[in-house]
Amino acid sequence: MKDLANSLLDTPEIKSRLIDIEYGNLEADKLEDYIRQLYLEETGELLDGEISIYNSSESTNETIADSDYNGTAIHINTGNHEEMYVISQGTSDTNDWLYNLKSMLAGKTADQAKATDNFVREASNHFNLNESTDITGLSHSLGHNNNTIAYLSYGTFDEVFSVNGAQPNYYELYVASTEFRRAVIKEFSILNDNDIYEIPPKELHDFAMEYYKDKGENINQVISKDDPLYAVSVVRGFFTLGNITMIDTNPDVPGLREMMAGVPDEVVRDFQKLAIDFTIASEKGGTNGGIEELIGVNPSAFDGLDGKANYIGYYLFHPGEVDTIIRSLNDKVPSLINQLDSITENKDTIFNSLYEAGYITKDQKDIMIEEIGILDKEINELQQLLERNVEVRDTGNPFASFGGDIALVVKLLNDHMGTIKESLQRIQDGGIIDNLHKIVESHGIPELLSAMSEGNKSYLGTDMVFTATNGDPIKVNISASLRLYREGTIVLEEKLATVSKLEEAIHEELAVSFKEEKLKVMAEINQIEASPTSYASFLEEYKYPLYKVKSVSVIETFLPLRNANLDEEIDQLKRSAESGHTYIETYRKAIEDLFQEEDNISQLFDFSRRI
Amino acid sequence: MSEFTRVKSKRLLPEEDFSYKKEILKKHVEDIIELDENFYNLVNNIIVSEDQKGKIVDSMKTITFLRKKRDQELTFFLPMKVIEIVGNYNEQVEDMKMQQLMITYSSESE
Repeated sequence: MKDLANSLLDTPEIKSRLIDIEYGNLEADKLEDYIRQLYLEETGELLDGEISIYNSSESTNETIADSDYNGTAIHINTGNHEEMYVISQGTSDTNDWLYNLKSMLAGKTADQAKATDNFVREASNHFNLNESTDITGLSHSLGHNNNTIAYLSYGTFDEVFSVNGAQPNYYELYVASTEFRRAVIKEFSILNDNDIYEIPPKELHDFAMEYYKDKGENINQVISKDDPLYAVSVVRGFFTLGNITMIDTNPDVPGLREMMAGVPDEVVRDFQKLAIDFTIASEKGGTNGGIEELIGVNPSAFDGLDGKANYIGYYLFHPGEVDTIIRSLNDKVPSLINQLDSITENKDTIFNSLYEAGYITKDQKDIMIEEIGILDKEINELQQLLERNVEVRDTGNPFASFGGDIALVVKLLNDHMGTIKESLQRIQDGGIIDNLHKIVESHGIPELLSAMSEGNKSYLGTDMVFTATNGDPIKVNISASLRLYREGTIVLEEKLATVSKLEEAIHEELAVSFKEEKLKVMAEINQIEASPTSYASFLEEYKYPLYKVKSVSVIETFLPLRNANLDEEIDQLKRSAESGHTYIETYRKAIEDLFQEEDNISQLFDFSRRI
Repeated sequence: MSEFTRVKSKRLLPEEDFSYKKEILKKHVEDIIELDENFYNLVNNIIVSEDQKGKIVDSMKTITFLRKKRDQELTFFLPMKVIEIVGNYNEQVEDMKMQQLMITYSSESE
């Protein structure tokens, strides 16, 4: 057995694979099996200890559920050594994306980091941990931001390990940590909280790095150079702390960090302002309230509107509300356009960089530049329409106002919205979305794992692959082989049991049931023979007016049930299930033959059945 | 008193529909098909990439192909077989309900 005095799950590979599999939200027993197989594959030995699992979905703590935090705590106890790992899940749904906006861009909330701390405390109580038990935070993407903010603010973990993580953000720490907030106020002499956004980002970045430098020793990260989050981490707010292992997962492209570094801070600040406005408003009025802050209209105002005629009808019955909507749009949309202009003004640079980096083709670059120009023009014309409409309304002439509304609605629907839709369709048809998928893959764990190959070991998805050392260099998925050897036997046993159930069901439903039907017929025969006069009509007495039924005797004919079984098929199914065990052993032998004895493949198979 | 006897073929019990038995049996057949799929899913991808060559790999591919084909052929016909045997059962139960009756009638006058 492995020396258990140290961390049990101690390699980046084993931790990364575990983080990735946690996204699958496996049942506790399945996750336990997975952890044991993972440990066997990575160490060649059995994990000798009890594994207990506690998921955040089991928690009754409202702050955890309200924040949309998802995580799993894994407690391993070997008898004389115990550890807890807490995997904080990355972005997995729309609520997480909204949280990303509010926390990492706006820096106005750290609710999920607080939930992380609460969950870790709750899991520690659940497992009755003592003070000295090591707690390791494992994470990817948003999970790293949560784990690190929790670690830096509340001392939640002894160690944090992450792959392709969203870096901590000093604006967010200002909200989460009282000590850090005090230190920033003292260092930069700011008078109110919003002044933090006016501090030059470089100065705040360097201050945060210095402030947390000692804590960085317990943060370990593996980052892909091609991860879009790595690229984003150069902008205001983020600081990268800890021991970093950089891996170039996609050597064909240079990554996006250099391009992001070229985006002026004013542009990021514009987006940050939008995110801050959205966050503050959504705290009061939910997501719709947040959108209302940006465009001036609450999306719920349009509930039930689905066509041109409907819009005109809506105006006739709600003229006052339409007036408010148009005036609000007119007030808010210009500032939104100004902030979105950052993208349109930089469109040539952005898409040229993506083309030069090999992410998109020249045609796609040209399409994007042209279509964004069209979208910009259409949105600006919409704004001019709004402005003209408000001017008409200000004349106070109700007929002019009515005409203005209808013209606006028809114009909106028929001209601009149609053009915008066509433009978006051309972007989609250009295939750029598919090409940019490459960037998304670089954020995932499988691409990082596949770059962690060493010797004859490599990864496919989260499975471990060995290259044969005996004869041809054949790649064998060892994880899949062990799954077949262990779970295949279970499946065959289940199949045999199910075939037996089918056999019993055929016997019950056909053979036994046929005998029961026979008994029913025999009972009826006895009834008729014993009391024929009671069956006079049935025995057709009415056909012979001068006669009565005197007696009846049934010439009983009972043939055995024929052609109502699957004996031959059942026999073949049973033989198939039984021969499956031989097939699995043959497969094991074939794989063993591809490797040399010192590769210990045989031991892996033996141990896998003891998981 | 006079009497005479007639032999008549009569249905002793009403007809019944036993087709619900097909569903009971088919459920087990579907479970078997699903377990076969689970089994071959475990085999899939053990040898990374289909184009890898080698004596052992070729041999395992052939064994797996033949085994899977045999299992698929067997389970492919099972649902139809179930329909057939339940149909046969139903037919024979209905046949059994038809019996030959020897009925004797006698005149009322003495």
